[in-house]
Amino acid sequence: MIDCMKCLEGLSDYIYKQLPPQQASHIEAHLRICSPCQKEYEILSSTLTMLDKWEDIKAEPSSLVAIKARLQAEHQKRNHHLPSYIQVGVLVSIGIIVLNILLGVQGLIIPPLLAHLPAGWQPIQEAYIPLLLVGLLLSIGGILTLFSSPILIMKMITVRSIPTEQR
Amino acid sequence: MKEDRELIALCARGDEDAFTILYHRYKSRLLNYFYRLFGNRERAEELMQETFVRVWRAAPKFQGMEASFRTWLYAISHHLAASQLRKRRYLSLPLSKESEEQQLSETNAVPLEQQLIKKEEEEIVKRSILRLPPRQREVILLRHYEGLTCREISAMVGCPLGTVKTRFHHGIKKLHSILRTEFQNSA
Repeated sequence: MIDCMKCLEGLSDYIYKQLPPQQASHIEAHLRICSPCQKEYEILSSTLTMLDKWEDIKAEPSSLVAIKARLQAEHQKRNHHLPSYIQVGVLVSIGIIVLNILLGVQGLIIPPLLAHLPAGWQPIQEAYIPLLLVGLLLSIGGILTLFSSPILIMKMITVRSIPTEQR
Repeated sequence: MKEDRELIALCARGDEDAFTILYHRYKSRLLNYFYRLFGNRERAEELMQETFVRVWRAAPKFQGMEASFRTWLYAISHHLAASQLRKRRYLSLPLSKESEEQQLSETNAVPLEQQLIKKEEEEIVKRSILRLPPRQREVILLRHYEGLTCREISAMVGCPLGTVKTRFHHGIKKLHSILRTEFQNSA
C-alpha cells in the first residue's frame, strides 16, 4: 500500500497511463480508501478534460515552401559571402606582406645610412638587425597564411545541399 | 516507415525528402505547442518555421545524442519560446472574429447553437491557460497536448524532475481555480 504523498506524486502519470501496471494498481487501491486523494484526482482529471476543449489548428500549406525558401536564401548568402574571420585573416596577411615589402625597401636604404653613423650610435645599428629578422619571420608567416587561406575557405564552404522547391 | 533518428541522420547528409517527412510528422504538434503558448496563430507559424530551420541547421549535431528526436525537437522549440518570452515581444492575442466565423461556418454539420457553446468553452479554456505563468503553462502544454513525460520535459528544459512536477501540480491547481471562476462568470 502507498501513502498519500506517493499517490499524489504519481497521479498525473496514472491519468496519462504512463505508469507500470503494478504502480497503477497501487494508486487505484489508495484512491478507493482515501477521500482527499480521490478529490485531488477528480480536480486533476476534470481540469485535464477541460483542456481538450481547446482544439488544434492546422498548419498553413505554404509553411514548408517558406522554410525551404529561407534555407535556400541562407545557402546562397553563405556562398557569396566568405565568413568574416577568413576575410580578416586574408586582410591581415596582405597587410603583413605589404609591411614587409616596405621593410625590405627600408632595409635597402637604411643600412647604408647606418654605416655612416658616428661610433656612439652603434646600438642603433645592432638593434636594426633583429628588427629585420622579425620582419622576415612575419613575412614568411604572412605568405603562408595567405596561401593557406584558399584551403581554409574551401573547407569552410563545404556546405550541405539545401532543400530546394517543395516536391 | 522510417524512424525519426534515421530521418535526422539523412537530413544531416542533406536529404530533403527526409526533412519533408519530419516536417509533416511534427508540423502540427509544433504549431499547436506555440499557438497554445502564445495564443497567436501568426506567431505560432513563424516560430514553427524557425524551429524547422534550426532543425535542418543543427541536424549534424544530433548524431551521437542520447535524447530522442522528439525531446531534442521540443528542446529547440523551448529555447526559441523562452527567448521570445524573455524579449516579451509576443502578447497573447485572442482569435480574430473573422477566423472564429470561418471556423464556425466550416463545421456546419453541428447546429449553430452547439457550435457557439463549444466556441465559448474553447475561448474560456484558452483565456484560462494564457493566464498561467509561462513556465507552468509550458509544462502543462507539453504534458497534456504533446504527451511528454515529466522526465522528458525535465531533460528538455534542463531543470530537475521535481521542479517539473511542482510546476505541473501548481499549474493545474491554478488552472482549475481560474476555469471555475471563468465558467461561473460566463454562466
